[in-house]
Amino acid sequence: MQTMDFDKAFQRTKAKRYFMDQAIVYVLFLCAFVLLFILFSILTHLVINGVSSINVNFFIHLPKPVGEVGGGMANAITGTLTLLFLAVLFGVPIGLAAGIYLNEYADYRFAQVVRFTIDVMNGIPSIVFGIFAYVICVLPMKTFSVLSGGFALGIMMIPMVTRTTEQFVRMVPNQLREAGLALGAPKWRVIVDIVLPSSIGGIMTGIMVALARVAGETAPLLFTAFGNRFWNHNLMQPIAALPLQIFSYAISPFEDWHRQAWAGAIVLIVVIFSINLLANYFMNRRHRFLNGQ
Amino acid sequence: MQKSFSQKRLQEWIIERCIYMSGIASIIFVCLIFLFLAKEGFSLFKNISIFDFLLGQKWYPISTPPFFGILSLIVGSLYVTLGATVIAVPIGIASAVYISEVAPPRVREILKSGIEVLAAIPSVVLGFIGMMTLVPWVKNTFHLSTGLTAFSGALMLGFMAMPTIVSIAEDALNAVPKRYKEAALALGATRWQSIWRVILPAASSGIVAAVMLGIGRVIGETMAVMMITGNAARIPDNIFQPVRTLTATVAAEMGETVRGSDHYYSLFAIGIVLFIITFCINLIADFAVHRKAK
Repeated sequence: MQTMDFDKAFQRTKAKRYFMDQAIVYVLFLCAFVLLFILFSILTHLVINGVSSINVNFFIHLPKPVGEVGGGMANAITGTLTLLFLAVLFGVPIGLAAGIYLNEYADYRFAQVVRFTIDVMNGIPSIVFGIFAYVICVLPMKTFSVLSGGFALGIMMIPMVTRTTEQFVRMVPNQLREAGLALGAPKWRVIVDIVLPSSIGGIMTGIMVALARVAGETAPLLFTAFGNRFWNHNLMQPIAALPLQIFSYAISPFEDWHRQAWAGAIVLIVVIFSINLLANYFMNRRHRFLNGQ
Repeated sequence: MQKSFSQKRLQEWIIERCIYMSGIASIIFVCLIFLFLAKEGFSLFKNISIFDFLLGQKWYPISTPPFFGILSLIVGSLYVTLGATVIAVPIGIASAVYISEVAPPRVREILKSGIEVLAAIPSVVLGFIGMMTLVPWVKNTFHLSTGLTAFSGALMLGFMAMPTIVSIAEDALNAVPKRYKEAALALGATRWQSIWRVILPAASSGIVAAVMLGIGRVIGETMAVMMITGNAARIPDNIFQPVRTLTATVAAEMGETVRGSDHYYSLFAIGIVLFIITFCINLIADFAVHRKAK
């Protein structure tokens, strides 16, 4: 009698537990599905609104004044590419060297301090980088410029590049370093000729991911690169950038400009995705390299 | 033509100095950023007391006399951030748990790349989409006079914080040793019991870090909030009213100020406030991660 009660009770709690389990797993699934659904609706919305405005003209023409149909964002596209190029010039060498420093030179305690600062720097709002570049570049030069925009994006890349470089340099086996040192090579030669080449795939991935992140940044460019409706071939002059152009068209009241902004958004996202794809490419190559193929 | 020994030593010394300088570059930059913000921002406090700045309710920087009270902006940021956190944290953590513990491998791959894609969409694009779709929707659904509200901003920023929260929380969940889960399952726990009682507590510090970094992302976000929260610098009665955030204020007004004016200094002072807030958030995240390391 006793045992039968126990069995019944056990069966009941078991059923309850399993029901609970099923229900909650279903809820978890719904949450993940909500994420995918949002993403899907965002992408379809973009494509529906923007794809009709993407044509050859969009890539080869300057923006048209209000009221004239057509025009493109050729200057903004090249402007974004120029800014990204400058950002790489500013950010990558410092980030790369910092990652090497953290792993190869720094003692443990100090490395912890540097890592913490890097995390802090990574968390600083992009608009604050914008003000910083404004004070340090724009005010002394007395003009908005390509350089200041590239500088703002470049320093934003540093924390990300540093962290990934450190992570991948650490994966290089110590035997390789020791073999180099035993042959009499100085430490920096070992780093340049052995450590970097064997972790280059991962490092490139890190650089690409950092680049993809700053490519869409608008806030730091508002008062550095500033935007420009025309071509600019001077590093000391304001330049157009896709995010800025999208922003100024998006907040305008004109139907035509909204269409242009949708098209610009698609182009910007395609640029960012291509950079991400490059990142994946380097990552895969790294795996193949590690597997000895 | 061999280089002499001392030349080699010099070369090595220079290269190592360069690496060292880059190593401390982040420290230098963070200090420089703070110093420059402080140098310009503290000039404001010669004319206006710090209490009037932080607790003043009126932000009329270009009226005469001007008022530089940022309480309404702080409250605006707070409304949007809290709203976004309430939306993003449960969904984000639930998705992370689903991806890491429940989903079959194929679904997991799809979800993970979906989140990567979501993270790659720039905030200005999300702001634009929010402006064109979310704002009218909020206006019609809640019968408001305008859809540019703290609620719309919170909703949009919630989406933006989700990729950050999901990917970091998922890393934390994956770092929990498989044997914990196996032990729980072997004792007869259901999946949910093992997740709730064993895996989540074990990953709690990483999840706290994920939440903090998600919040950090939301507070620092500029473009989307500027486009969809309405930018009214007043303390809202509820979440369905327009607000203006700290970041949006800086972004909107920086280009229009005269260097050396109180208005200009006050924008830097806002920058200091933002810097300190994000610093504290990172401190908490770092603390959470290191508590785990012990």
